Amino acid sequence: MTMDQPEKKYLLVGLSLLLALLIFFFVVAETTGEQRMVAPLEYEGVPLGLKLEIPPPARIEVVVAGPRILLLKARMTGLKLTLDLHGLRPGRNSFAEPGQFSPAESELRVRKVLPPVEIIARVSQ
Amino acid sequence: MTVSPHNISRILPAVDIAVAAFVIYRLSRLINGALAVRILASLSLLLISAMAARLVGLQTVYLLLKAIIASSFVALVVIFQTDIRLAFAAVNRGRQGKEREIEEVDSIIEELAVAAESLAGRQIGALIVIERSMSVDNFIAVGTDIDAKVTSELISSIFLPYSPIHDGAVIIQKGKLTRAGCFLPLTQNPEVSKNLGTRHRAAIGLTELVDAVVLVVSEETGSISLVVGGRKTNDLDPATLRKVLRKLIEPRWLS
Repeated sequence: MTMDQPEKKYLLVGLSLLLALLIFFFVVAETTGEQRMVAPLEYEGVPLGLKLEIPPPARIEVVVAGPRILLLKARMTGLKLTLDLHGLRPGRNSFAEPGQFSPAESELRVRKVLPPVEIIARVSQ
Repeated sequence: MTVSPHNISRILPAVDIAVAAFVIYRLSRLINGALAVRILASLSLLLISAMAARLVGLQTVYLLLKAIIASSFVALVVIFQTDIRLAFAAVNRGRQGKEREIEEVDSIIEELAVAAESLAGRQIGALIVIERSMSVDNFIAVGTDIDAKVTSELISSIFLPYSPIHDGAVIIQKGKLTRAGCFLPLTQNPEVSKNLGTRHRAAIGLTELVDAVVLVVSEETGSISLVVGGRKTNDLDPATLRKVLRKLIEPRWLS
């Protein structure tokens, strides 16, 4: 490759800027961020002998934390949440504990559930 | 605009990127231009691929690319340790040293231009290799060790037809005329014209392998050519030759 000195200089300046930008985004992408988003909710682990009279809503609003690049991915492709109902008891149940909601992306964590998920269960006949 | 923590946090990423870009640019200037472009482009491509792999969810590819990126910075320092050491040495020498280096380069270019003009005027063929950042040692054969100051008289006398070492190339390394009568690898490029003489073919052949600048004086036409990166610039007059050489040769390669 043969280039004039000024041409080579401008190319180097451009490439240095591009590389600096990419390194910046590469580093920032791995830092932890928080994002408020609405996500579809699935549930599992309904105890035997219990039936959901009022099931959880199809979509809930949550605050999710994790690497920014995965938050971006979740915004682009959508986030799927699973609610573990193992501790479900007959009557009104409120699920507000973030640990009970698992995002499909294992590196993401639910920080806050807005508002708590209310479920009414009764003993099935 | 008032300086508040909020404003600072908005400016900080731009400052961060600008400082990083400046450091990368200064480091890339230590390496030969074309190579630096290739290295910067490859690193950019690696970073883009790693981020794409992370987004798509290719965990193994992402981990592999991350490891390559991390180790490539260390590898670059090891590979270019000589250039980096020379650059730091140049920084230590300071401005005065830099001015002296520029004067030395000008003096060598002047000697080369005078020799080329004199040889061209008498239609005496000549082949002069000026080493830059890449060593030519592995690509030159035979030759006689000289290790002398570059002067037009010495160069002219080497290429005079009755000189025993006139039939080969003169090598200039680190500002000294180190060898004469050297044989260079001829180009194997089929696109190079068959009408070109051995001197021109040797000049193209060497510059296809290393970043050296080769000055050729044609015995048939008495024209002066410069060959860099396998490309030939023909029919240079002494003034243009001086100008082009000043652009192509940096003081750090001659000191």
